[in-house]
Amino acid sequence: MNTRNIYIGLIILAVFSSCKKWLDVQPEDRFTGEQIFKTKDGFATAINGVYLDMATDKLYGANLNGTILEAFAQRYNLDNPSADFYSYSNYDYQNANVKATLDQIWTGMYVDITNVNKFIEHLDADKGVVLSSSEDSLFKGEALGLRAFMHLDLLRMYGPMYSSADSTKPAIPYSAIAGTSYGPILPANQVMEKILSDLHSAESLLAKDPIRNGIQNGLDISYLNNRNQRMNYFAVKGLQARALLYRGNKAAAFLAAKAVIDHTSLFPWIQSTDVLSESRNPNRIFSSELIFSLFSPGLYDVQKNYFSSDVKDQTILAPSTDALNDVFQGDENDYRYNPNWKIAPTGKSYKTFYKYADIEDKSAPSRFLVPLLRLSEVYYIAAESAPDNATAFSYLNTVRNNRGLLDVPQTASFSDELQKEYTKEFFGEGQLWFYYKRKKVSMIFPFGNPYQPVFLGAAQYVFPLPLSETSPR
Amino acid sequence: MGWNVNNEKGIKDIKWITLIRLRANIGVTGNQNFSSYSSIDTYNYFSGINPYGQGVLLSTLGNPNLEAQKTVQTNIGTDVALWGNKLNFTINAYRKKTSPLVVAVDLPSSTGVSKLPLNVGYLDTKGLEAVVNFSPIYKPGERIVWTIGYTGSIYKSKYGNFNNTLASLNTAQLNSNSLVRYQDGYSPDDLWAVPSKGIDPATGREVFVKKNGEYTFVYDPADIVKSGSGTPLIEGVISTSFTYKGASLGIYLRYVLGRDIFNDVLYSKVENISFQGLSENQDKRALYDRWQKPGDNARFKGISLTSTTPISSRFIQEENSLSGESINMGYRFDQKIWLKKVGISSLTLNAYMNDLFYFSTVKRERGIDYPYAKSFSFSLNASF
Repeated sequence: MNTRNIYIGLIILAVFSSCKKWLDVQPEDRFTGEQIFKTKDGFATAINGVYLDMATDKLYGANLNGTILEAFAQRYNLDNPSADFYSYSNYDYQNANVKATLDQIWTGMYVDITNVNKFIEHLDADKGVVLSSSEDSLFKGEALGLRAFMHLDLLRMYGPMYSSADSTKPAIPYSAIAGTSYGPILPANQVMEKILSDLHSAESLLAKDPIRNGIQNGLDISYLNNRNQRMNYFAVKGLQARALLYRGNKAAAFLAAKAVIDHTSLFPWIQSTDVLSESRNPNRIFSSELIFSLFSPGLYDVQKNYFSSDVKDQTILAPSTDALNDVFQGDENDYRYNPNWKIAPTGKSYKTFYKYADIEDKSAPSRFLVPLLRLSEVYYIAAESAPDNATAFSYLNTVRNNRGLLDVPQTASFSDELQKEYTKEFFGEGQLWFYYKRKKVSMIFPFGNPYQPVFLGAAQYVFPLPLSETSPR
Repeated sequence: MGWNVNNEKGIKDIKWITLIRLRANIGVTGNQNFSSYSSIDTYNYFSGINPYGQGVLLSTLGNPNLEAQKTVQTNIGTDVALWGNKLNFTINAYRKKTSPLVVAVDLPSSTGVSKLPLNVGYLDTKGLEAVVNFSPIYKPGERIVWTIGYTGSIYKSKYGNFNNTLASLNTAQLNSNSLVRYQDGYSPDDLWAVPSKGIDPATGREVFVKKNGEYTFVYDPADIVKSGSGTPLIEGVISTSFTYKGASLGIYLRYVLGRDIFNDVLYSKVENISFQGLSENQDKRALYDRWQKPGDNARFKGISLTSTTPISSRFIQEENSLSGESINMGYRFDQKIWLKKVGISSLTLNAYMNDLFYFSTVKRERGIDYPYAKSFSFSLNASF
């Protein structure tokens, strides 16, 4: 009797010890890394998560687009101390709201960067099992490009003011591995080196990017459609131009910009019939010219919450009428003036911002797009880094002509004219702040009270690192 | 295992010893107060779509080398009853050692994770509990009993072995300020903050003490040190219960001595009033007790200073408290003739009052974040 029990016991023991997998419980309410990266679709969904997250309000959907960065650049009438965005236009970095927003931007960007790093880790581990080598290159190029893109913006926000020589002041950490070991806060020049090295690798990985033959739509494989809504070959080149100019390397910036400009036909200039004379469905963001944009499902809510004429006075973001006249010099031919600025039938008595307002045709492909890199910016970079005056003005005038404006003569002050163009072109897109910081503009007139200039220096241009970064270090 | 000493040859005959029992036990348990999936990466779907479809994002980064916590608990105690239960007491001494601990380490936000679970060190808790019941009037035969009870509990928790395990970690993590709290000899109940010398009468700003002893106006998270301990000196319950024939009365009071707490009300209602909050009513201490002009010896910083007050030792206060945990009274009608007429063999009426009062040396507003209830209830029990 006893020996029989022992035998039964031994058999049961043997059965269970070989069933280790039986004890492996998979979580039911979420997915593990292994499950996601088993299929091609899984990889596509993982990188799409990053695109979706970047387009949220905390990052490029609102903060880095039409709201926070524009408030810092004094684009709106924020004279009243009870205005929601007053502390931003006052550069009050100790204010609790400002601190919280800057922390949110920092953390949000690095979470996306960590997702990208994990994505790259899985790509490298794959070794041709799930993805073919061309698919692998495409995804990896996108991932590296995104990592460089986000680090560049972090550098432009939290890093020191760059000089024409490389800046060695401490800037931001460069996150290249998803995990718990973290590196030091690097000096700006080393961050820039890493950004450019990532872009260089991305460029060669994206050499076979289908966008080089045209932007397509309606293909079966979804990530081959609308390549300009993802990090693509030309976005990488444009980004290189942007980064190199930020660093002060004009010659290299010019070459990178030229690589995009030579293919300008892939990003056709907007026609006046699509903007000026089109009243029901104006293409206000000039979507055909976008080299890199993001689809943001929350875009029209941002419009309703911050720019619409119905928003209460304390919250609305709108410049004063005098300032608007000053910027556009009353030129109603400018594609960027009347279509974007109207007096609404109800609400405010002054012009409010319409760039991100919805249109009637709900099937239009230009809806929900947030512009991140425009063809016009690449032209401006080329103009600024051009080897001679004639080339500089010719690029500047090309953009002007495609905005309904006449040429400026070569006798005009190039830098003044360029700054005017930046001011008109990037309303609600955040790039003007970076332009001011790069050019070390020390005095600007806010679009609220044009007779009281605001003086800017390192104390205003450099965002302090958030406590969530510095406390644990 | 246990040993009833009172049954031993010599002691059995001693009339006034009813029970002396010695016992000891030891056990091992697992422990899980952290998320189940800490050793693997997990993803969640993003709640929106774009023309490319759905997206997934990391929800937790896993640490594949994570081991589960194990706790070994040893316990020795004695139960003694004298004079047939007129006096009885129990004393328990225990020791719990949890090893390896799973500790959530704060990481800089640029890693994309805010906390990561790591196996480091152990936690050693030693404690002593005593329960004493004494009945000055003890006539169970006539159903008249009055008992006074007392319980007390003391414990001490200490971390250990962190320095050895941490030696193998990346030096950056070693210097990580979040691990400042997990050092050998410190307790998980310790409160950490920058020590404060109070408000400077000349400027109304708070004066902090740096690690090297210097005074400064500037808050630096690197100066955070242990500023108090949430472990009470002793805590327990004092009770009394009285039974007279069918009537019963019980009173239970809970006491806690010598515990440090962080006074949240002072922190968020008197200082740190948000800009939007200015249009609402505020705690009157914000006006009367805050610094207004040079020469004021105020407890709180200048009323015109609107930057956030960081957590400092000013807000850590020692609390001694006494709370009325439960008072109950009842009456039992048993085998009464007039009840039997209705077919009821016994009827019990009881009234209970819980959480009646809370006396404390620390003034604060309770019940704002977590409601507490003073409850009064009445019950009627009939058996047929």
